Amino acid sequence: MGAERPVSPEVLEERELVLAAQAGDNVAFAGLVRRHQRRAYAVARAIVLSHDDAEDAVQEGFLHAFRALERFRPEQAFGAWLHRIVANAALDIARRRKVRDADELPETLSKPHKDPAESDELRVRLSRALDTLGERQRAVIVLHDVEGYKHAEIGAILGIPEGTARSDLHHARAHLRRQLSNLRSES
Amino acid sequence: MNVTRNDDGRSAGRSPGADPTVTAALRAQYAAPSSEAYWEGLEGSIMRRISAATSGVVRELRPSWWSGFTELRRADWGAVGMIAATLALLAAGATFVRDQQAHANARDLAARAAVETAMPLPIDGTLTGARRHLSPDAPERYLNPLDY
Repeated sequence: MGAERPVSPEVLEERELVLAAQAGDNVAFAGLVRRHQRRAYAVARAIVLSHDDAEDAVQEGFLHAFRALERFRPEQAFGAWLHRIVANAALDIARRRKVRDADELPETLSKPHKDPAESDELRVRLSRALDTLGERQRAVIVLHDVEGYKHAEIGAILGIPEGTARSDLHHARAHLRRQLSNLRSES
Repeated sequence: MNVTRNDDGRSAGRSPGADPTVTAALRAQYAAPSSEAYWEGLEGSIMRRISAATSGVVRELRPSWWSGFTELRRADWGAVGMIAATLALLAAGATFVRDQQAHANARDLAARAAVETAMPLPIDGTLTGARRHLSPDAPERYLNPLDY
């Protein structure tokens, strides 16, 4: 049996916020939103194709978390729990978007949060390549290579085994490399 | 708008299999807004959405105990009178029918009691018994009483 790991002041502070929010303190919940919204956005953005959808997923995720707060045990990591909820909300939005877009023109390129005038060839090609990836593989490569999550963390967020996350990452990288190879040879 | 990565010290982009060019392009593609005003706005939107979504539920789940009086004040008294009159008529009808049934039952019971408590007439026994007490010369006694 190992010794218990000391709890950091940040974790204690977060636990207090969670307990206060569970007791009905909305200001405390706003504190949790402030702490976690950036990473929640990153998780959502890895799954959906646009900034607007990511924002929607974050809002939906926090709303679901607020409603389910009574069932959350404060000794758990709030971030991990929240990221799972936000990921589910984002997956739901991505599925709905896919159904909607199936009837429309194929204009579902990844929309970055920047001025369209800044777009260059690599970005457009990358967007197209990302669109041809499955949503899970796209989420895995973004969460790993952009956000720096580990395979186990990605597995927990997306609800898949760690090995699946590892294999998805491998396939996603190979796919992007293939899709962008002629661009490199041209440049 | 300026963008930034949500980096909190993780080792993004430094994993062995990652292509630095692709990773850099992915980072640009997926970068989150860096403006503090944006995040303050998003926090406000989230809290407003929560407030809007939950306030209706609270009202629905916890009606005040005095809300019944408000509804009563708003009620249409003509409709209330009609409903009351109909209920009274139904109650009177039900009482009348019940009384009629009770009387019919009482009559039935009385008639049955009268029949069941009456003694049966021993018709055969009476006749044979009377004959058994007559002596064989009874007709002679009847016709010539002075001889006996």
